[in-house]
Amino acid sequence: MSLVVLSVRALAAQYGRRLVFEDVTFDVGTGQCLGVIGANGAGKTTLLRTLVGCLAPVRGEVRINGLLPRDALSRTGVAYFAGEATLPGFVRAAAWGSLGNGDAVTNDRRRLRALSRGTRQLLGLRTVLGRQPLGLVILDEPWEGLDPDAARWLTTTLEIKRDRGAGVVLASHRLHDLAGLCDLYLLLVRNRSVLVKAHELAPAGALTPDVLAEVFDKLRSGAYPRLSTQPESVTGG
Amino acid sequence: MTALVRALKFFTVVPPLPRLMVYSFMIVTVASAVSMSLDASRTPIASVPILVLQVFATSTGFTAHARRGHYDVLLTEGIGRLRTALTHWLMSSAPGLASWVVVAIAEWTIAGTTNALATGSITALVAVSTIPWGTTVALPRFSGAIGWMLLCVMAATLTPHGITFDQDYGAIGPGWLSVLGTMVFPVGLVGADVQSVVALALPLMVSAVSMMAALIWIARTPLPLEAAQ
Repeated sequence: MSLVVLSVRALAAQYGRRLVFEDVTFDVGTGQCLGVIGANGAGKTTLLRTLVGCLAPVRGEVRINGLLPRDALSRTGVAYFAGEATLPGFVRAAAWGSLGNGDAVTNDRRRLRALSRGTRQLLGLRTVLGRQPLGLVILDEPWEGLDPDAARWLTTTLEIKRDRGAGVVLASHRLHDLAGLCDLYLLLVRNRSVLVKAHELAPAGALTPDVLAEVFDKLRSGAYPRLSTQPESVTGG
Repeated sequence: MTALVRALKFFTVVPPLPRLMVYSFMIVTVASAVSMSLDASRTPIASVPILVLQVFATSTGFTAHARRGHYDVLLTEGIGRLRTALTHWLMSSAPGLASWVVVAIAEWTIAGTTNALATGSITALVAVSTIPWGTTVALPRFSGAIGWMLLCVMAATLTPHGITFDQDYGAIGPGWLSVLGTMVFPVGLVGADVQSVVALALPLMVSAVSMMAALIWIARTPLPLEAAQ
């Protein structure tokens, strides 16, 4: 049993008249990892920005440690990173790296726009993941552009954060990276969501990316499997 | 207090103003001081270029940067949008305000006058430091400044006698066109020790309203990533 870090109830988001998703409900407890999977444009980035309060939902609510995001963010350490494209190119790498916990992430004096995409991605991740203490980690396509070494570092770091009690939410297309890390999966398909527990899909052992891909394909083709859409039983925080 | 320090540190790393703009302020400030030292009678007008530069400097466009995710680190740290926005405004207007202080000190040292601190001058400085920031908050950088310049040119060319503040308004007070002039072309207030509350009220009121509207906009507007809509 774990305490709920992030609680989402009947969440709906839309841009103008275009509905992005609705009725999204899940809980993430301490030491749990949720993988958000969906096709391009399914609303993964929108969901993650709603979780951190950058977007207001049209319906439903988000609670971080029982509080609305605007109140919770100053009390709960949250690492949020939406990808290297969100880094301002004119800033120097060393200066950006100092925005985490104050320690130097890099001594590189070049401007961010002069760095390779993967280096920017790694710098952005190291900056936000350097914050202490971290109660919640929310990352959007975190493995994008990383070389194998950096990708391994990221996976190991996320495992450590999760095992130390942080709730982790990851949106990614890279099912093989998610499969080894997540306990829960939120599949966004046609404006709806389905919550899948890893142990339901692979009761005998570790969940493989192939199984995950198969479930996702079935959902997209309309053959909805009988899966729980209710949050896993966790105690209220 | 910690949040303010954190926000100040962030905007030192991610300055709202391009470095070129800061260098421009330095150059203009030195040029103003040199101009005053060569001819002390030019003290009010010599500081006008700082105001014009300030109009462009404060037209920073907060939301455009926020929607690119540039301020995510700060916004997800619990600093709060309003505090983030106010710090952004402070850092946008700081170089212009600092230049003005330097010019005021230079003027007092060189000419022994305090035109830069006259009521009209301070009102003009407040107007150019707030209105462009407020009006550009949801627009691309420099939009407010370009709009204001266009308004000045229209007022100067499309009206019979131009719209500018008449400093010799006499005992009956400034006419409504002259009061409007304080708004359209606040630079006309520089050096004037304006006693008329009416003349100063319009630019100060518009400054307050534009800042309030901008802050309300920032507090309420969604900040999706540009590529995720």
